[in-house]
Amino acid sequence: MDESAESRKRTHDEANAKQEKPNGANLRPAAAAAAAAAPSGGKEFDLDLLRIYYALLFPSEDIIKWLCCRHDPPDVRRVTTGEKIDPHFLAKREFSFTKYTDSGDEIYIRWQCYRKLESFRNALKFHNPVKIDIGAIYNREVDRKDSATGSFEPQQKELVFDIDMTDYDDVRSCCREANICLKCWNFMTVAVKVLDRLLRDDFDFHNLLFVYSGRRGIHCWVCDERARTMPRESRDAVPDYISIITGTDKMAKRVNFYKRDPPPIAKVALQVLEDDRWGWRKLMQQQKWFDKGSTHIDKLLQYLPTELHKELQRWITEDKKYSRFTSVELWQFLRDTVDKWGKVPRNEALKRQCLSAMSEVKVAYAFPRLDINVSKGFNHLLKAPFCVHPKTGRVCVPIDPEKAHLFDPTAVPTLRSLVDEVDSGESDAKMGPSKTSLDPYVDFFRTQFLSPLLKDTLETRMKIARKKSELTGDLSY
Amino acid sequence: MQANRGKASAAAAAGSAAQPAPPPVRKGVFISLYREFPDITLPVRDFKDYAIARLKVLKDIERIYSLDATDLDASDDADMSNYGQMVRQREDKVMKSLYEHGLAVEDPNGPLSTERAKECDEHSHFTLRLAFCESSEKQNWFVSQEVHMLKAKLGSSSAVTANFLLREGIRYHSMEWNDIPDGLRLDIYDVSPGKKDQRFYQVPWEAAASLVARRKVVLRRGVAFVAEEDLKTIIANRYRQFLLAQLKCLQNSRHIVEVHNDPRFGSFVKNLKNIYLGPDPSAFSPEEQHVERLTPHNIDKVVPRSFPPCMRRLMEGLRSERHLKHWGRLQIWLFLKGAGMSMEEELSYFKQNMTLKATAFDKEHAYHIKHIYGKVGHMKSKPPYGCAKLMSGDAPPNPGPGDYHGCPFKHFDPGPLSQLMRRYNVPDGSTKKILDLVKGHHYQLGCVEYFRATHPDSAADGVGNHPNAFYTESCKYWGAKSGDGKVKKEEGGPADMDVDQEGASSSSAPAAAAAAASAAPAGGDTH
Ligand code: SF4
Ligand SMILES: [Zn+2]
Repeated sequence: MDESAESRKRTHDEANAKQEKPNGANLRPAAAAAAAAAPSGGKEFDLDLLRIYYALLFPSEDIIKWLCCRHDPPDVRRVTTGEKIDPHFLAKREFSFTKYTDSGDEIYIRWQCYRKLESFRNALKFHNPVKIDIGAIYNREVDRKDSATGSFEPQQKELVFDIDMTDYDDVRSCCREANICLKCWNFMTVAVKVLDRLLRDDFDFHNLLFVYSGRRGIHCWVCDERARTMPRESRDAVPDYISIITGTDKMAKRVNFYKRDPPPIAKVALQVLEDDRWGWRKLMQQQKWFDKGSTHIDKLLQYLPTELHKELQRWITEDKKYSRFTSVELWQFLRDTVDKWGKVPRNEALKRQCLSAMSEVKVAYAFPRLDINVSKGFNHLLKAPFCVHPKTGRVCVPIDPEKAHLFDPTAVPTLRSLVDEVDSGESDAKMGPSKTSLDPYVDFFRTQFLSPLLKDTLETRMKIARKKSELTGDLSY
Repeated sequence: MQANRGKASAAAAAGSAAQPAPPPVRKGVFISLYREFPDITLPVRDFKDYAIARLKVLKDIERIYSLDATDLDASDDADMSNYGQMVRQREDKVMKSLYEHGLAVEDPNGPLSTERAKECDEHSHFTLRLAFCESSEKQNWFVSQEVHMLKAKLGSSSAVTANFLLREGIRYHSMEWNDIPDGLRLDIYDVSPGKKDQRFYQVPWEAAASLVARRKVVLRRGVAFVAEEDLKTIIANRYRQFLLAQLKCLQNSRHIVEVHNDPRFGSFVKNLKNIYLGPDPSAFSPEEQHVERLTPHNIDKVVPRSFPPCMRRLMEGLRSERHLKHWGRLQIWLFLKGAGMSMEEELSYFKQNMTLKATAFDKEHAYHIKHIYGKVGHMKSKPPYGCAKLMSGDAPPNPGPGDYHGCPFKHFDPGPLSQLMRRYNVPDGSTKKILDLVKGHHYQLGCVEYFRATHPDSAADGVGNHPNAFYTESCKYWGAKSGDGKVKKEEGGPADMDVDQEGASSSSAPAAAAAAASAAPAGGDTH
């Protein structure tokens, strides 16, 4: 991720220089050239298909409604409730595009903004971006960034999280780097479930959107009014609170509970890991960390208190000298041993220590690994949901955290498959999109995320207004 | 041990009778969030004296908190009480500075009246706001020293703190330890066994952000359960946010221009801000210290001899992998720049030493290096990272697998660290000392010990604060040894911007302003 942040900085100035005005001249040749020059990840991605996707399938209106937080632009329908709205709100939001130029170069254009849904749609048509990024909401319209006096500063932004499978490389036995399979996807399932519970139960956030990043990770958008308007200090505290894996690879333990019971945040993860559909047992079966001969056994030993360490070593070198064993068997042995010791009252402390160490192992191996720089501050832009990943052709669809364990990244609709569906259906462009396999995802976004979000936002605003009139003079929240 | 601590602070909170009944306010100390501007007119001379006095205190605070301002987030019991002790010691030092510079009254029978101290404290705060609102970097520096000051003033009595909260009109629900529901109490105990038996306050988690970030509180549905002894942190957070917001307001207000143009004190205010910033990285630049400049020609000789372990490791990483990850590159590039390498040299050196096609290098890294030297982008040269920043775990984050950045004293376990020390030819005795220091979280002192071990009979001045200070100090040392004439004698230290240098605390405003005007503006890395 830091790579992209860096290239972002680099291309910023170039991008500004190269920025084009949407006057539409010689669009066709440009598109053709770009399509030819673009890196094609098989046949799943293609700029001409992308153009059709934006025209017929991409849910622009839902995205704009979401990003406006009830401050809808004039061409978006909405139920009026007498709230005060900021007509410039949408224009204060930064968008940026990654696109291919005529000559096939990838360029990044920042500081785009729109006053109406219509102009956003036109921009998609004109730029045909391979990636749309969403940034912060500033104190004035983004296109007046350098014009007026006074500083131009971000004021609001959704709190976002980025979890990438490459950060799990040291605990993945099945794949490496950009590759994923259903086995390692299970790490993401656990991550979604844990993050979902922490954000809801600990921080009282409700309007969460989990999105498949199109390749090998997930994004999470926390969109509550409270989250969006948080000052920097509170904003940064959330990822810090959640990143419990602090150790480095030069340390024996990447997580340390100092022989005590696991802290509450770890307990949440441990509970999630209890479920055999995706939990610790399943992970061990999939990744085979502690199967006989695995290098992870040495790492495991480093976590254990001396007594248990010795006992496990004895088991491996004597009991199991000539036979194989699986991770699940090894773990069962640890649990049985600790249970047996725990029966003697004076071993109470030792038992606690052993259990604490075993929890450390679980957390170190399975707790969500966040890229916290993405979450901190206001500066990081994040890819919009429903973009298409240019390498895989897969659409970045929302994930229902309740059903995260049923999500299969290899089975999400791809650009090609969707356009084929449109072509084969008796669709009429004027009638709007025909039925495609993207519909359930758009529907989920609309009914399970967007509409509760808009409702909750209204409620929060009313509550704040009421509180303000009650407690005037308090500088607090 | 923990239980004792809990009892002790509970007793303090209740106002123990053993001492002459500590009053819920601190006599002679003006504790305030400075929400209202004082409505008094002052002679310009006082105005200036007050501002200088406060600036001196803030500089003292910076110094008090800079040494081993690293991770004090200790977790075992012994460290916990050490930590408490360290906090108290520092706060005492801050109080001493306040007394010394007339912002608070220590001896009620002394010459300084409480009213005068209050006037000084209050006025100087607002004057310095004018001086430090200009950029977010200066704002941050000012705010963090101010917050330390407030905390020191509140001291260790939770009664003073609780009373202060009431006075400020801040009310939270609270519960006695025994009234806390069982499950919750267990969680609280797990998070902070040492705070057992205290009263717990229910605070919106945003107000307790710094405690949340360190997982020092239990959260339930957005509510943080904060122990009485931590209320101070809540006030500090609030003050920080409030003050920062005020400074931002001021920064964008038109009146600030009027102030800066005022003939009576405009230039004084403008110059005040220039004397604040802590160790200016340019103060130990090779030119400033008259030592040999680092170049691609001498680098191979100099790395093992004069690079601090953090940088030496990065160079080794570069050698073996012919590549470094993002934070590693940034750390070493900035350091080399600080050690005197020119931009052209750095560009060509990395072009040669990284496995990348020349065109790819130009595309990916050249811009970044130029950026660091301030030749593109914001056009501002970026200062090298200091030790505290390298250890902070926050931009640069803690190193992960395959990373070479960070500080080995902080980021290595004892095993790998002692291996590293052996590889760097540190005698076993010194390694043992280093490991002990590191165990007590004194990472920077570990680095000082390393320096002493590899530079026998040296003073190790400035080492442990900044990798570039390590470098110049080492170059000076070896320069003197070989007597190659590269090292001239130091002439009374670098052009120091320290206000303390111009004499006793009663210096007159014009002199101080002149001193301020002549001080070099610093563009330092404050955190
Ligand atoms: S203490 Fe500072 S100079 Fe020494 S190794 Fe660590 S970061 Fe480098
Ligand atoms: Zn896999």
